[in-house]
Amino acid sequence: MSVSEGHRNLNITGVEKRFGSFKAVDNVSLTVERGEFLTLLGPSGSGKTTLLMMIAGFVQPDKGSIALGAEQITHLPPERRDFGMVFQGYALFPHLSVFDNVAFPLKVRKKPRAEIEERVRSALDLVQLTAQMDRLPRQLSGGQQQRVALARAMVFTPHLLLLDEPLSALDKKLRAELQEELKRLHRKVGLTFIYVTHDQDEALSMSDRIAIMRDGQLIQHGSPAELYENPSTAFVADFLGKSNFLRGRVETHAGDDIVFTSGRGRFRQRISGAKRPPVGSEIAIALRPEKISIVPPGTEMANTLTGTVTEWNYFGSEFRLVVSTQSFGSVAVAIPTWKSGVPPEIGQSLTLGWDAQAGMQVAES
Amino acid sequence: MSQTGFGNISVMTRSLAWVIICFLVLPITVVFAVSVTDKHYLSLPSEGVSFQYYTNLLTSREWLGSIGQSFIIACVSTLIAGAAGTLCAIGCWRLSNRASEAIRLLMLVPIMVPTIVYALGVYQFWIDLRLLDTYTGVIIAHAVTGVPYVVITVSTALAGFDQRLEQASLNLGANMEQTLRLVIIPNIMPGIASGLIFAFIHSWDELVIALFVAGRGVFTLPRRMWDGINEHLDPTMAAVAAVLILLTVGLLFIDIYIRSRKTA
Ligand SMILES: Nc1ncnc2c1ncn2[C@@H]1O[C@H](COP(=O)(O)OP(=O)(O)OP(=O)(O)O)[C@@H](O)[C@H]1O
Ligand SMILES: [Mg+2]
Repeated sequence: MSVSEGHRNLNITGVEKRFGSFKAVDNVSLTVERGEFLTLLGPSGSGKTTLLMMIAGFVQPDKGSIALGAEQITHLPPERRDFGMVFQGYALFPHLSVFDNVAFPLKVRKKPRAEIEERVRSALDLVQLTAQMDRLPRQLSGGQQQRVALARAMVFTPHLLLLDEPLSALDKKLRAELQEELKRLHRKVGLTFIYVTHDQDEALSMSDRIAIMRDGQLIQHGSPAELYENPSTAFVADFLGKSNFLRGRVETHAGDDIVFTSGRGRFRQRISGAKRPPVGSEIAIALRPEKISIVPPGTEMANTLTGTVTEWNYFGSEFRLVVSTQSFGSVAVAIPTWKSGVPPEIGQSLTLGWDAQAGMQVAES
Repeated sequence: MSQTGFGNISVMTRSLAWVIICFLVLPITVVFAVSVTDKHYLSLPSEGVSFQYYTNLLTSREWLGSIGQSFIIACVSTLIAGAAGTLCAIGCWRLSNRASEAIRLLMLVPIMVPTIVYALGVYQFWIDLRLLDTYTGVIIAHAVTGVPYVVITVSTALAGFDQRLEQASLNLGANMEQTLRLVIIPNIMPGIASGLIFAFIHSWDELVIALFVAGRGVFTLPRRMWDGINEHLDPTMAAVAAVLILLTVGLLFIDIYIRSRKTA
């Protein structure tokens, strides 16, 4: 399979969808580049499916426009868009065999029989289902059904591929396998993927770019690393990976750092340039659990904090502790097992330390 | 103690159920007995069993003619009712708003209004349209009264149809006509088949409308049976009834088979 010639960027401009007075999608603008793997990530009810349905043409936006390259497609009916879609639950035709399911988009386009035969075979080859060609969908496992849906959505070389939580019904192991397979397919066929999920690990590991949605709005988008390292809001910092939130008041500026206080503690955080908050303002710093380490008492470090262990859990590769502190309440800490030495006990007091660059300033909400 | 209590109730329920079944089925079995009578009038066989009335049925031009007429009328009206009812049910399902609910209810009117009232209305209407005593007249009347059965069974089938299949079909590039033909209809086929069977049975043993709108030219089977009872108590009628019952039971078994295949 090759990428079709008409493969262009998808431009979404200010789209809005209301159900009654409720805005399911609120002024979303986004450009999806050709060949990109874009993930829409957000909690349940944040409008991901509604946005996808508008791209596919099943839902008409109340405002805004959708264009493929220079061509307006806002009001084009779904059957004329040439967008492949893998539905939540796959929506395979139960009365047709695997072969006929995959052949369906070619048959309705009245392709010659020999061409259909050849393209269906190569699509089934790609998803490794040639052996199951004559079975009915109900005779397949969940993972196989998902692959049929994928082959069916790609066999007519669509402009782009829309996937609505295609792996949500599968168990963890199969999900990991199919994530790999999807990525491999994406690299191989070079098709634009728009992928909906509310699994943050899936989003981080698979995407070129992630768009985070909340209450119908697009909160932030960027590469996984960008979002992970530079979340714009506390919501993003907490949704994409776990974060501790250190809230305090700015006391002074010291070189590239600011010094803020909370409770009896004073802490340093590197914030330079325009983002620097004025002295006296309230700030929130997101701090990833894995950026905190346990240090010997009295260590000289930008930030240290003492507390008592209230919870600890072993996860094979790491320990996750919850440490109760005077300045910030409960703080989650993740320590690689090989570094931790002896397992800390509940009630034990210890000292936590982190660099001035470790935290990230985020907006509240 | 409650155990035995429940036991008694269940025995009682069971006996009651059997009584009701006998009540429903036994009168029908009488027909089979009467149809093999050796007498010259409607009666139970006394001296021996005779199949003369079956022979009579199969050699009588009148009976065979009526069977042929009824068969043609039932087939054509079933096709019309099937097409109209299926399209109506699909249309209502696709719109699924208040208007479509109202239309679906309206479609049930022919089975809610007493047939005799309905037949009278059709009669009045057919006088003006010059359709009395024509195939067309009977076929249209039967098709219209057969539509509700199709609408009911097809609507039920559609209620279990996953709307995403339709979306998938459109997404894959099929237009509405292709979606209907290749996806929707194959998936609701058991419902359509049931509807067709019920519409066929409905036309096949419909008497009241036939009494009103058919006369000499069109003489359906139920009509001839009616006349047979009124005029000469000919036991051939019992033979016909027996054949009719077997046919209906056969159709119902086909219906059950189709449904069970769907759930399998
Ligand atoms: N047809 C509809 N009528 C009314 N409200 C709707 C309709 N479809 C969606 N909504 C509402 O719009 C909001 C967004 O729904 P949507 O299905 O897009 O969420 P989602 O992000 O896909 O959630 P999930 O992760 O649970 O699938 C929800 O609050 C939902 O209740
Ligand atoms: Mg959804």
